[in-house]
Amino acid sequence: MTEPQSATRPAPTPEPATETVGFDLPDEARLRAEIGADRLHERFLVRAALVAAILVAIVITTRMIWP
Amino acid sequence: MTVWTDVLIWVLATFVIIGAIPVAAGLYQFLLIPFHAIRNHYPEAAPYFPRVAVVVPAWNEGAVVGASIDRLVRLEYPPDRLRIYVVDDASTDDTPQVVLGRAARYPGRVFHLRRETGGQGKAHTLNHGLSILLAGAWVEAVLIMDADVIYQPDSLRKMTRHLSDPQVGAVTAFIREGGVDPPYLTRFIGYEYVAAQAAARRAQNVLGVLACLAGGAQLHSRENLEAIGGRIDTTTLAEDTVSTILTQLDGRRVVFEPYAVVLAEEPESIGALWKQRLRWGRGNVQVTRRFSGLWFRPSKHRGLGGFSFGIIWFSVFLLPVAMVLSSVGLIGLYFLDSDLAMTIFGELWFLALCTYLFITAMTVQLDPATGRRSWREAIAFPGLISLLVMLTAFAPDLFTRTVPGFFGLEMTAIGEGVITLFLYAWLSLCMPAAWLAKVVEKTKLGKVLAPALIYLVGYGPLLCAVTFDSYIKELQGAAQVWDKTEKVGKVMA
Repeated sequence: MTEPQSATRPAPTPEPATETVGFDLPDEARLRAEIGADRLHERFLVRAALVAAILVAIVITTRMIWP
Repeated sequence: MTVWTDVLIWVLATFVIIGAIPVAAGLYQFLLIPFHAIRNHYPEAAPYFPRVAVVVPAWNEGAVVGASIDRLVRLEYPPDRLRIYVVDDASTDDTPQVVLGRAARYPGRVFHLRRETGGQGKAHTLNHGLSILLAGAWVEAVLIMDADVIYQPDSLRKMTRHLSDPQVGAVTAFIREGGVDPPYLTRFIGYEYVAAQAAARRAQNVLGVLACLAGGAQLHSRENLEAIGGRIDTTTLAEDTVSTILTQLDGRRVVFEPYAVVLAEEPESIGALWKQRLRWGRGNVQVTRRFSGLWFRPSKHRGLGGFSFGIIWFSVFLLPVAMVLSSVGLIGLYFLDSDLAMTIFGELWFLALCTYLFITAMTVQLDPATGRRSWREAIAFPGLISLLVMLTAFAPDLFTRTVPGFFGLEMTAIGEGVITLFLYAWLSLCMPAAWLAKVVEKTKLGKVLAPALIYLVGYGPLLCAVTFDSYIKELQGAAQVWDKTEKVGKVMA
């Protein structure tokens, strides 16, 4: 373990300016639709795997017919 | 041939086959990924906004923590349900000023918790914050992050939706390399993160068991944190992995949410990467030892103790050992039965070629932006020399006859033997060669030689070399130092 270190200076006084930012609670139906959309989007994984499998199939075929 | 020779041949052939197990395990893991289309946690997820305390451990993070806080308060999350607690680990830079400035700018939302003595590591810092937070009743969930990471606006609410299922104890996000105009090594890391997270963690979702919550993006329910002791493990260098395993051993699920994206700044030099990964590697050695009674014992835990998860875990953990065994097996076979050696060598590297193609094609499709940015690193991930070795699966005589013949040369028997032995030994030699890149990086010509070596030797072998170093450091009982990776705030805004 490293040796514990001590602070070398005290924390300063904060600046007074304030800012209000944030996000209002979204409509629940929209959030549920988003979950459904993300779930559906996962179908792209099947397409990606098919493309990758075709690439590998081409290589295997090439090796089989390689002189 | 004597019986003993036959036995030796079998033993050596087994060594080579052991070398093929991590390759097959990698392919298996990637073959699971498409099943995430049907086997995922979305059916059980629902809109859910618990009161979240974000815990940001900070030790001299003045350069990055301000931007992180600004991003956090703008997350798409109800402001009255989100508080940010920066646990300042006795920083000696301007971290306190930066945090207190933000606390004043966002009153009631940003808090500065200071440790007067620090430097003990992330877990101790987190525990200081957790002890304060869990003493109160406000917190319903805790998001543990790193000071330098930038959460995409929708990332937190995409994580919390899984906590609506009480079976889920923790959720992790996709940490994406987010540097502006990253150098070659950082592009390698960016590609690696897609393969290791967006891809591999989807596969682990399919298996129903996760190996590790990302240290910079782990959301725990309060119930889960309290169940695993209300604090983060401080005995290992892989506290996030320990939390992940303890959560699952306690009967709760851990979920990877691929659409919750968090940008992180990653090392730009081999030296810094080596330091970071050595910490991770040593942590994995410690975790493997700590949970030694769990692996390959489904009775202990159906997922973590299962065969699939065990193979995946040890294929990463013992990859350097498997590579060395494979080389030893091939070289031994060369002297006992050179035809058999050549056949096994061809099949091993052909499996490696197929796996490399499948993994690379999948990974670049999973994150096309990273794929476009890191396509050179995707191709060169195993190293250009290894790619050439893979070609010998098509043409075993490529380097001993075809290429010399192209130049009108004929290789002598000794020359053929030397080249063949080099090819057989490459699985082991690539690791010291990658280590050499770290050494030359510090020299005057390092800016040219180190990248050239990494593209030639491969980023994968570099990681294996670090893993090997982690074995050595653990065996030596080297001091357990929590080396922080230096960050300068170069993540994309």
